[in-house]
Amino acid sequence: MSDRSDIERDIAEEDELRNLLRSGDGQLVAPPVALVEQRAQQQQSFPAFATIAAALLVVVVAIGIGSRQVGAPTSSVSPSPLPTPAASGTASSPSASPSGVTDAARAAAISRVAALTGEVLRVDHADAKLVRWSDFEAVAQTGNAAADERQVWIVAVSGEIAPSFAHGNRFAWGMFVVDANTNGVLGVTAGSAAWPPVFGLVREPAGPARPEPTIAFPQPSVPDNNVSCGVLQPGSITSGEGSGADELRPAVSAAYGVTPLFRVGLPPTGRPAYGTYTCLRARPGAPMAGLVGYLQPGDPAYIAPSALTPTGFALPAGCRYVGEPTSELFADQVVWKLDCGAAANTSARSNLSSAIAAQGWRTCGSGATSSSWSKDGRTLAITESSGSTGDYPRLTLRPSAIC
Amino acid sequence: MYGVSVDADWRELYEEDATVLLRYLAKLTGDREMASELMQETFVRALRANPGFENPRAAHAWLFRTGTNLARNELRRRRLLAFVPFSGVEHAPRSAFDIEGDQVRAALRSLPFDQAATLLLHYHSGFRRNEIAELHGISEETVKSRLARGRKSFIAAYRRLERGLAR
Repeated sequence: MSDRSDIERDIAEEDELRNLLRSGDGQLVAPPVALVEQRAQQQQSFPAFATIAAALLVVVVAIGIGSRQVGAPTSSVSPSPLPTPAASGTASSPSASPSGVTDAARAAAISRVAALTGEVLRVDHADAKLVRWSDFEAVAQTGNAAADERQVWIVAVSGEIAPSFAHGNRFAWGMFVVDANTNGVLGVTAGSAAWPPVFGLVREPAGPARPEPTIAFPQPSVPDNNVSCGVLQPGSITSGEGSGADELRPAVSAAYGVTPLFRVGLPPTGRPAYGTYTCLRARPGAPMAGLVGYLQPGDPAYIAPSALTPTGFALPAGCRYVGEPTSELFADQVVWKLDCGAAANTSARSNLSSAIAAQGWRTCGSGATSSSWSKDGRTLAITESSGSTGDYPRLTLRPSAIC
Repeated sequence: MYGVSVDADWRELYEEDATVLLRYLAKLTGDREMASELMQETFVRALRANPGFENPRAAHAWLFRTGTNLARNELRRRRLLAFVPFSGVEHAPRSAFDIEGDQVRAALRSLPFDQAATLLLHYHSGFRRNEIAELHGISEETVKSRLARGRKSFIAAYRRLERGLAR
């Protein structure tokens, strides 16, 4: 009897595994075969040009140190010997521009740069513009005499960039010049501001200036009074942001609502114990804020612990939060467990969807066990309980919108 | 002979296998961009190497073996490149708020590469155990063992993530 139930359990587990591993597959479709054939042709042509390319690499694959004075200082600009097959394109002559700028072409240019895994270590945001190289040079003034009339993609990337010329140094942005016809990377500029300041000055001739990228983060609904409250925790480690100091995790502020993390440096004396709900006024700073002073209940700016609930959503009657919310920093989200009664817990999405919609959230879609909604630059999601004893449905808030 | 250099066969092979290979690699690497690059590179190698397959199934196996090897090398390379002091969390690109997808990716990343690849080849891409054994050059017993351990570890990791515990 137990053998039979073991087998049934195994089969059920295998079915679940298949479903899980295949979830989301439908969104992925291979690009047209022509793209791969073109790539194969480019690679085949490489050996013939390898010697020329190697000889020209230092001279041609360059955006030289320039006299740019725009915006934040550029940390380093120099030739970047990118060992890509498409470097053979440097030996080609300028040719006609592509027939038009499509989103697919723009995405392909960005993908080309994102694929430079030796130099582009992390991409937070990317954009691309198609221009004549000489036009770009006129704006960027990198001092590169090689800039000719060919069409190039200027691909701007923020995140973590380690140009090969920089000997291990990393930068917050990179601006890559990619030959639009050969797909060869001609050079890279890197800097330490949040976004390449010169990129906004680059204009695509085919159309009006495109809007600058916006970072999807909730705008403050009230002026920021620099008061943040939350559960005091020792410093964690966050990719790209370093570690150390102390954190409110999760945190809540009048301006931004609930967010997974507020990093602050507290003096060693007179500090609350870790795990304590703490309200403080901070002096903005990076990578962490500095303490101005603690706030106590009764202070007009004090935010009660009860505010650590999903911003913009109130649980309907009959539901309650279970335990404390937790921050999942790897996913930039705060998670609550909720209990709406045993029966309702088995179908949390259908139970809560009308309340969520009534509060102005618009649906972003639904998966096998979760659904998500967006409002005011935030995303809310409900995940069904696994059904195990002691497990509850979960409500998740991210401080960014996806739809 | 199923020669990939013949246009018709090559395109037929791409139509049949490119998307399934892409989906497998996306799950294996947890990174769609990387998966797209690896998938294309796999087909480029097939086109250039022109291995000459006996049948479509052999071509299918060749593509998945090559794709898996490319993914292993690329992930190893990225791990080396991505290491920096104070950065204990690897960046996991995501294009949408996809809780289940995040959990599946995180659970897969908690497994050793070969275990994850075996699990995906069997439960995701439908390879039989003996085919995986041949593909990886290992015994069928080893495949069974990887599947059993991988299944247990994956489910445990997924459950932990479902309950909201740290991965």
